[in-house]
Amino acid sequence: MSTNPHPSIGVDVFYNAIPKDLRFAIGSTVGQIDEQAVAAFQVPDGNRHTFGLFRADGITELQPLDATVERVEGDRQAGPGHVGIREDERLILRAGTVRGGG
Amino acid sequence: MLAITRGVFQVAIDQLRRCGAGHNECVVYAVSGLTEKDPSEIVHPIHKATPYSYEVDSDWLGRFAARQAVEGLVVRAQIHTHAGKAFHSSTDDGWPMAATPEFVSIVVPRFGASTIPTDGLYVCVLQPNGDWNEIGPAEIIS
Repeated sequence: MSTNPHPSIGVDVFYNAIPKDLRFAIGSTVGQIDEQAVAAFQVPDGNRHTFGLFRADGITELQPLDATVERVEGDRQAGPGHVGIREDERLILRAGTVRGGG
Repeated sequence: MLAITRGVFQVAIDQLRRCGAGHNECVVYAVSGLTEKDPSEIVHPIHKATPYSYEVDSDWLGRFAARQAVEGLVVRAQIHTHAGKAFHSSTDDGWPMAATPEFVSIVVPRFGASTIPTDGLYVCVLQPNGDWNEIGPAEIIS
């Protein structure tokens, strides 16, 4: 029986310019790592609905929410139903929508 | 608590007046570096606006977030206008630019037309439980 030597992936998540080193368990869903990130940055429950994790360009969102996290290396892409993340990858947590008014 | 100088706040008011032109809402962000708490710069996002609402362009949000990560540019406060009285609406509560404890939101009445910069402002601070607690303008703007 083989054992995965890397059951989690270390990433640098930035929210509002503040960096945090987080580890995401391989096999987690995107929804679960979104929740892990908003909890790490103490985003209050009432404000979490619009948050998501994006690639370093700030534009490309990790999705769909039910896709599972897979470690990728080099040029390899994640398989169907998975989202690929590289070790030490820079990710951005941000609100997808910002609005206001009265 | 952070402090916004009257000079920085006046830059914000001038931008809000210019963009809103007395008939639409507008929003700006007071930013500083990672190691400086007090804002020293005002950023004006690409946004849509009506007399009763604004929404920041989603591509701008993404590009700005990427820039923030590279340059260490922290949004400390959002400042936006209302047509009439200043207050924090449910939309303001639920869709802020940043949603971490101590984030400051300032609402400016009458599209920023007041001659006294702090007249009628509504200022509130996000709490860890998600509540926005009102504080006096003098606690922030000095």
